[in-house]
Amino acid sequence: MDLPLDLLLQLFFKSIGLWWVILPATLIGIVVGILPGFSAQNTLIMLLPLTLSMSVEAALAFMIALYCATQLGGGIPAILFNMPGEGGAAATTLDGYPMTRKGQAQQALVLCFSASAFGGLITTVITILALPALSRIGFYIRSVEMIAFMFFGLTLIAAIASKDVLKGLIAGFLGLMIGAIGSDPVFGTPRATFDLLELYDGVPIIAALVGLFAISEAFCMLEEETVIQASALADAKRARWADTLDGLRMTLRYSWQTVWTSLIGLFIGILPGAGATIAAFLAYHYSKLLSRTPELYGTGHPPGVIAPESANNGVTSGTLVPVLALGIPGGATGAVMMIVLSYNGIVMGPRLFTDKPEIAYGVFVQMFVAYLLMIALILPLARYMSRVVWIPTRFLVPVILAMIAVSAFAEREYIFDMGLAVLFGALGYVARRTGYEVTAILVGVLLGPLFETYLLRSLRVGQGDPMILFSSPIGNAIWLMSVAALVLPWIRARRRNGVLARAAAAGNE
Amino acid sequence: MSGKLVSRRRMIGGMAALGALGLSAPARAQAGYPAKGFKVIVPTGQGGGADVLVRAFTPSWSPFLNNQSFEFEYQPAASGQVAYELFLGKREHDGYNLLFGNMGPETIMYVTQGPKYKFPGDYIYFCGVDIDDCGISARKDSRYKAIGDVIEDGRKRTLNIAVTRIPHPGTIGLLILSEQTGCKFNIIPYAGGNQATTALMNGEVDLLGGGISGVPFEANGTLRVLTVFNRTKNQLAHINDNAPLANVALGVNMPDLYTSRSFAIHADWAEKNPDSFRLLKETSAKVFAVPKFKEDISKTPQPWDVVKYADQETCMAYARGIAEFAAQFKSQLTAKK
Repeated sequence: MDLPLDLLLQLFFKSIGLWWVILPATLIGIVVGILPGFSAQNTLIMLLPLTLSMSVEAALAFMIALYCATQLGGGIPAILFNMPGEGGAAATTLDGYPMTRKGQAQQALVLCFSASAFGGLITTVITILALPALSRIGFYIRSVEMIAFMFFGLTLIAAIASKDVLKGLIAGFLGLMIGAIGSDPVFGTPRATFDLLELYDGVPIIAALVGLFAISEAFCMLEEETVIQASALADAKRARWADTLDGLRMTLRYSWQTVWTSLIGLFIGILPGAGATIAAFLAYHYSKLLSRTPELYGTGHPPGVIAPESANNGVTSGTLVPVLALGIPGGATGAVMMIVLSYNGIVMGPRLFTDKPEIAYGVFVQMFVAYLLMIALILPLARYMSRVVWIPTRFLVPVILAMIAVSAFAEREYIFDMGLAVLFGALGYVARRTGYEVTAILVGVLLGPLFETYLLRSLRVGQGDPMILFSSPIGNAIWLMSVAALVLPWIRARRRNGVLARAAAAGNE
Repeated sequence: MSGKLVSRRRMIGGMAALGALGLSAPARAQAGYPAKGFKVIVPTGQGGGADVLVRAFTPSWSPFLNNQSFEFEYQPAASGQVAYELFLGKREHDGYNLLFGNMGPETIMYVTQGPKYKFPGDYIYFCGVDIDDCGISARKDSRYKAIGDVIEDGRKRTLNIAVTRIPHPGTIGLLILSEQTGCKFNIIPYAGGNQATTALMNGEVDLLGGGISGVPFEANGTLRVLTVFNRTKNQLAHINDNAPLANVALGVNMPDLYTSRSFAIHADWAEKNPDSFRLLKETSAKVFAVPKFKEDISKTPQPWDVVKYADQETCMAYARGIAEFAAQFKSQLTAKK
């Protein structure tokens, strides 16, 4: 199919004309992204009457800008307070927050904004260029490939555990056990729910997220005067525009990182049932695995912020591919967008590209424009946002805890979830103080249920034959990557510190 | 059309008005029922079939109910069981809390899981909105050109068939068909129609079971309905290439198996407030004649042919019938002996 360049140009200028929709949607999206528990799909559902009353172009621009900005906004509290606003930003805490602690909050925010926006721009362009081919990815990825993907994601626990293997694995398995709570994915039989209705759908992710990260971190914050290390405070208070430029320089330095990790996001976004959280963790995992300096990850290393942020924004265009090309939404946000498109009499599928190319391509052109406007809007704010961390923790923590309480409640509107968040907060605090990685627990909670679902589904497809798990060439390649992910860090460590290093040294002598 | 669209000026003006609204609390009271907005629990996810249908229905119902609003809450956990537990245990029994459920799957869930609430004692289905026959579908380019091919192959090997969820009238249909023909099905739940369709498209499964109304429109028209579990008529023959009825094509004796979505209300409130309940029933029945409802349905993937009113008696009889089948096939639906 030839690319209709004239149409794309027309759509570009038309989309810029919709700035009056894109800017407020971006601001709403950033706020929604900052607040854990407020997701893009819930907000879009709440605003459905508004979008249904707009023209289809304006409605799409509004929804797309809001959706993209949500992914970007989630990284802000992750970097400033170690509290991810969205599941997709949980991996951003790993290096974003250590940068803040070192007095580099502004640089970290700029990295987050630029990686998000450039990641979004890159994947949007690629999607426009290769839409028909991309729409077929879903046909090649089945349960057996997904189970391999999920296993690869779980190997992240081992990577996190590399600092202290036993504690890391204990934390990961604890997460997996917590993730197994709820109705089983085949027959819907409740397990370990203690007859609590609130747990039938499993442990609510937002309560776990805010508890493990935000509440436990808030407790830890109270032990210090400010979020920033005392030694870095004076430096951080000199926040200048030069720091913004420094952040941009870092982004440019790792620009290739932005490209390939955003492609991971695009790919994961196209697959049904995956999503931004998985994409961000996988991108972080790959980034660390393929890095020449993996030991710097977790200490405030810029690629550790770039990888998850560009990936979770890459997901945004990926999610819309099956919606437009096949009429099959991969997630709730796509489903809500489908409602609006259907309401305007637009039928999704390949014919959309011939019948209404202005809609099919328009969606991605609007996304492109949304990211362009977003970066112009938010980059200058990094300098001011980073100042929040100067506030003494005795003022900051009560505000954060109040917001967290609302966030835990907002997703399902259960008081129970607020209590659960506190429980996870206590667990997270104990884990932090005793050297157990809360991220390993979260990876278990997040990936455990998905791993189980795809495992049971694959075994059912294989009619009980476990060899089905190794029946796909793509799946087998991913299994091999998982093994490599487990073995490579071990070999590297041995080479650096162990037998091989000593052997090499002995050889030199 | 353009008159109702939001322009830049109207949006900015609207935002200002919204701000002003926050400063002045409206104090408006209406006499008689209903005097405030309704809250509707939907036991499935946002953007799903039930969501689309209830959103098309309520704007046409509202004018009959003092223009009251409808607010939706989605509770898809445990195949809808959580939604019922919440509706019956944690929501006020005041006539303003409704449920819009998939009667078939949720009744099966009730029978197989044995929750605390009681059916038919605790709630009443009073307005069925659609009838979506169940059946079997395949890809048009698959080797299954007719349902006979499926049965023949299924007698030789076990066929993988995707369903949205195990507790579903379509699953019961497959179990009955299997009993009567000797065809072996390996039923795989995919937690939603989109994932089940994708599994058929990417070749993970041989067939798709369940509701057939959306099949001609899904996956760009590359799917074919092979058979319909209805004793008398394929109501969507004109859009599914006149797919044959299972009983006619295979000489079996299958019951009507379909899904149907309906509004439900607390039984104790209905008993104490018969006039108000009658108002809900009568006004909901009138919606089917409102042109706007038909117009709104035409904007959804749901064909108008499946939109059919079912009164309280019909709905409750349907749910009781499904409950009997669920009890009969409980071991297969729960994997418990």
